[in-house]
Amino acid sequence: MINILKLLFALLLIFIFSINKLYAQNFINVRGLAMGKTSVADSYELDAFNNNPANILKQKSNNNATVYFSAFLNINYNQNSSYLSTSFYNKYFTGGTAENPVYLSEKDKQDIINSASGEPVYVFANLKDVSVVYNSENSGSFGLSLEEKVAGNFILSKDFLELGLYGNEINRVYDLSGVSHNAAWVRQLNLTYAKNFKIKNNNLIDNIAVGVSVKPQFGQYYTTTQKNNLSVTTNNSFEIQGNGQAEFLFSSTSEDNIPTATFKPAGFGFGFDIGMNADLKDVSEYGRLNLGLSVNEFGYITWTQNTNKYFYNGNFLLTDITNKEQRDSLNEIIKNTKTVVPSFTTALPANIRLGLSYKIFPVKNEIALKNKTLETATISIEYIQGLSNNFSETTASILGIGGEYNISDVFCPRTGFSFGGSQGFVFSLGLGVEAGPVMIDVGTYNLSGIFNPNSTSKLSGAFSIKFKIN
Amino acid sequence: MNSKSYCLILLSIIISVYFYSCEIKEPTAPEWDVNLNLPFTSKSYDIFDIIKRSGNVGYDSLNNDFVYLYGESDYERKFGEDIKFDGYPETNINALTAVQFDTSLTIDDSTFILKADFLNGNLSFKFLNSSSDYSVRASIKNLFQNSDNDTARIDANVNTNSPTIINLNLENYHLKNSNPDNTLKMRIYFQSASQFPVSFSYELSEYSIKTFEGRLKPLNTGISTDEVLDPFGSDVPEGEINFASISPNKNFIILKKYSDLYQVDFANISLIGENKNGNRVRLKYLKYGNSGDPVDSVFTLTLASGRDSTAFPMNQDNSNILEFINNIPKKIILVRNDILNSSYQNGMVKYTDSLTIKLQIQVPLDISITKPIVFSDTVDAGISDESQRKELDNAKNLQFSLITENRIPLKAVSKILILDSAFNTLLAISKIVGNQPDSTVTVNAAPVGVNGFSNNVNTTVFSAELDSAQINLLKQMGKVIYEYKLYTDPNLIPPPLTTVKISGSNLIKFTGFGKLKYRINF
Repeated sequence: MINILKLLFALLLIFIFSINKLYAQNFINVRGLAMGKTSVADSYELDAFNNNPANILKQKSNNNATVYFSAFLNINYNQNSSYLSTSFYNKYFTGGTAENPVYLSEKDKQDIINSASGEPVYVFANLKDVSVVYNSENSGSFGLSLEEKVAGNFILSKDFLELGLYGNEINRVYDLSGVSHNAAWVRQLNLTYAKNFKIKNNNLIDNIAVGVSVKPQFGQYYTTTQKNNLSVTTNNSFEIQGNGQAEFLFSSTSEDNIPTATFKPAGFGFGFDIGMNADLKDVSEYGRLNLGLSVNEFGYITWTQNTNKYFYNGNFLLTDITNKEQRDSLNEIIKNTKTVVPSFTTALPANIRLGLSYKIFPVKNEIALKNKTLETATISIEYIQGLSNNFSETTASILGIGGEYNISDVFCPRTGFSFGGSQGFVFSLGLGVEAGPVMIDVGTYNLSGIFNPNSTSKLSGAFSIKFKIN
Repeated sequence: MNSKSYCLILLSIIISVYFYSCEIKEPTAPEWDVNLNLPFTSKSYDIFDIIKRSGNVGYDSLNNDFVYLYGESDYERKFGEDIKFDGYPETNINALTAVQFDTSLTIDDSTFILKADFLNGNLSFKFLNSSSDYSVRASIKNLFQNSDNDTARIDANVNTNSPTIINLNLENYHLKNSNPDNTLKMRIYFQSASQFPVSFSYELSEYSIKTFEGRLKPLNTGISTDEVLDPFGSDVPEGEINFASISPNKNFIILKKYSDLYQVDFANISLIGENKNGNRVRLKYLKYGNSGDPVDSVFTLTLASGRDSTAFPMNQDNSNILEFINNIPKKIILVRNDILNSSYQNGMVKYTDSLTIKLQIQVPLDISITKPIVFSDTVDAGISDESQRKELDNAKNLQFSLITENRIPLKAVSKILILDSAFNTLLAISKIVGNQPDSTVTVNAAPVGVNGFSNNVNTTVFSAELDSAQINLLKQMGKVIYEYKLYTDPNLIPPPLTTVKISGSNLIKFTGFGKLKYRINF
C-alpha cells in the first residue's frame, strides 16, 4: 500500500513540474473550491455533481440523510484575470458621467496596456436552479440537478490596446490576431446514479462506489472568435494598410444574437460523467484513504438556432482619407457581413480528475464507521486535466491540495492551495456550517479577495445552502 | 434560538457584508486622445490633368512623350441655291402663221449645258395680239417634264388684241442636250385661217440649278463668313505662351470638295485668330499658295478640278503660324469668296455639293511662359453627413505636411481657399501652409537638361498646424477654390535654351499626411 501511495505521490510530483501553462478550471463545487479545488475523492451529495458522480452517495461520516436538496441557493462566481478587478473597472469605466466621462491620461493608458496586454480574462458563473439527491437504502443514490452555466473569456493583445489607446504609429505593424473571445450559456439537466459495491477478497480495496451522469445540454447562447488574423500597417508614407480577416461565430435564441432567456434552446446535446471512489484498506487504524477518479463533461452541443457568422474583411488600403471612395470602402469593411451558417457542434469541456483523500477519525475506523462518528479532518490531493478549450476551460493542468477540519459538528473551516490555472499558486479558504437540516457553505480560492474584494482581479466566491432530510 | 441558529444568522451577515463591499458601479465609457497618422492625399498629376483637357493634347511616344497641342477649325460650305444664274432678258421673235418653223432661244451667253435640273426659275412666253385669232402649238425639244420625261409643250389660243402669256416653272423640267448648248431648241406652229405675221417674246428669270453638267461660266458664289470656337478646346488658358516652334509637317490648310466639282478658287481668304482677351492675329500665308509668293494676310488657294482635296503646308517660312498660335486663339474667323470653274472647263455641280476649308495646327509644348497662364476652379465640397461633421468636434489638433515632388519644368504658384456656401472665406489653406502675404504657395519647377526636358525632381515640403477651431471651420465648408499660375523659370533653363519641353510622363506628385489628435468618446 505504501508503495502505491509513493507511486501516486511521485506521479503527482511529475504532474506538478510538467505544468508549464496555467489556466483556470471551472469549479462549481463550493466545498471543493475552498479545499484547493479538490473534490474527486472527497466530495459529498449535491457537491458531487459534475465532479465525480460516484460521490453523490457519499455523506459526511456523521450524516445518514435520505434526501439532500437545494433550490436557487447554490451560486458560484469565478472571475480570473491578472488585471480586471472591481477597482480597475470602477476607475476606468465608471468614474465619470456620460457628459463628463473619465479622461484617460497617458499614465492611465500605459497602466491599462501594461495590465491588460495579452492577459486573458475568464469569467464563470453557475447557478443550480434545483438539485436533489435521493439515497435509496438498497438501490443506490439518484441525483437530479438543473443548472445554469455561463462561461466566457476574452483576451486583448498589446498591439490592439496600443492602437486603440495611442493611435497608429508610422512604420509599425499592429498584429491584432491576439484578440479573441469565447462565451457560452448552457442550461444543463444532470441525471446521476451511483451505487456502492463491496469488494470481497481484495487486499487493496474495501468497497468501491461508481456513478454515472447523463446530462442533456440546452444551449442558450454561444459565440467565439473563429478566425482572426487581422493586422494594420502604417508605412512611412502614412499609408494605412489592413490585412487579414476576422470571423465570429454565433448561435443564440434570438435572431439578433443577443442573449435572451427562453425555454426554446439554441442548441442541444448530451454530456456524460463517469466516476468511481474506492475506499482503500489498511492505510491507518484512525483514518481512511479514498481514491477518486472521474471523467466529466464528455459530450457535445449541436447549435442549430440562429447560427450566424459575422465576417470582417480587413483588407484595405488607405492612401487618401479625403477620397470618398476610400472612406466608403473602409466603412464597408468596418461593417460586418452576417451570413447564416449550418448548424455546428462544440465539444463540452471534458476533464479528468484523479485524487486521494484521507479522513482522520478520533476513534478507530471500525468504531467511527459503526457509530457514525464525525471525522476530525480530511486531507485531499487532486490532479485535474482539462481536455478542451471550450467554455473557458483549458487543456492545462491543475494540482490541488486541501483540508477540512471539523471544529465541532457545526463548524468546519476549510483551506487549501492549488497550482495551475491562470492564478498560478492560489490559497483557498472556506467555511461549512451545518445547522441541523440546513447546511451552508462558502468558499473562495482567493484569500486577498476576502479582505479587499474591490482590488482583486481573481474574484472567486461560492455560496450554497443545502437542506437534508433524514 | 439555539447556537446553530446564531451561527446561521452570523454567517448570513458576514456573507452579505462581503458581497456588498464589492461595489460595482454603473458603467460609463472613458474618453482619451489618440494620435492618428493619416494620409490626406497622394495624387500625381501630369500636364494633361493640369490643363484639364485631353481632347486637344497629345504626346509623341517616340520622342520622350513630348506633349503637343493641336487645334483644328473646319469650315464647310454647302452650295444650296448659291449656284445661281442671272437668267436671260426678254427677247422678241417675229414669225408668220400657218408655217411650222424651228428656232433657238438663248438662255445664257457663256454657260453651255449638257444636262441641268432646276431648283427654281421661270421660262415665260408672251404671244402678242394681232389682227386675227390664232393658236400656238410648240415644243421645246431639249426641255423635258420631270413627271414623264415628255418634251415640254405649249398649246394655246391667242385672241385678237389679247396677248397670251405662258409660264413654265422650271422646277418641273430638266434640260438635256446631246452636246453642251446654251439654247432652247423650239419647234413652233401658229395655226390661223390665213397667213399673217405674228410676234412673241420669251424671258428666262434668275434661276438656281439642282444639278448641272456642261461648261459653266466662272461662277462667284459670294463672300462667306464663318467662325469656329475653341479650336484648342474650351479651356484655353489666359496668359502668354511662347512656343519655340511648330510641329514639322503637321500644320496645313486643307481644301476639300465633295463631288467631281469644277476647279474651286478659295479666294481672298482671311483667317483671324482671337484669344480670350480679344486680341486678334491674322494668319499670313503665301498669296496664291505657291512657293515664292509673297506672304499676305489675304490669300487665295485653288483646288483643281481633278482633285478631291489639296493640303497646303504651313511652316514658319511661308506663314506667321507661330505668331498665330502664340496668341492661342479662342475663336478663328474665316472670310473667303469661292469661285467655281474659273478655268472654264466642262464639268458638273450639284446643289448638295460642298466645299471645306480646314485649318490644322499642331505645336509641341516647347514653351516659355512669361506671363503666367492661370487655371482656376471652384468645386462644391462639404461634409454632408451630420455624424461626420460632429466627429470634427473631437479633432483637437492637426499637424499637417505636404510634400510636392515636381518633375514638370513649370513653376506653380497656387492658392487654395476653403469657403462656405455663401463664398465667405473660412480657411486660406495655402496661406496657412505657405505663410505668404498673398496666401500663395510656390512649387518650384523641375530642373531642365540640355535637351530641354526636365532631368530631375524638385521637392518642396510644406508644414502647417491647424487647431481645433480651424478644424471646426471645415464643418461649414461649401466650396473650395483652386487657383494656380504656371510659369517657366528662366533660372532653371540652361542657356542657350529659352524654352522648356513638356513631356507627358512628367508628373507632379502631392503627398499630404498629418498627425491628427483626436478624442475618442462614446
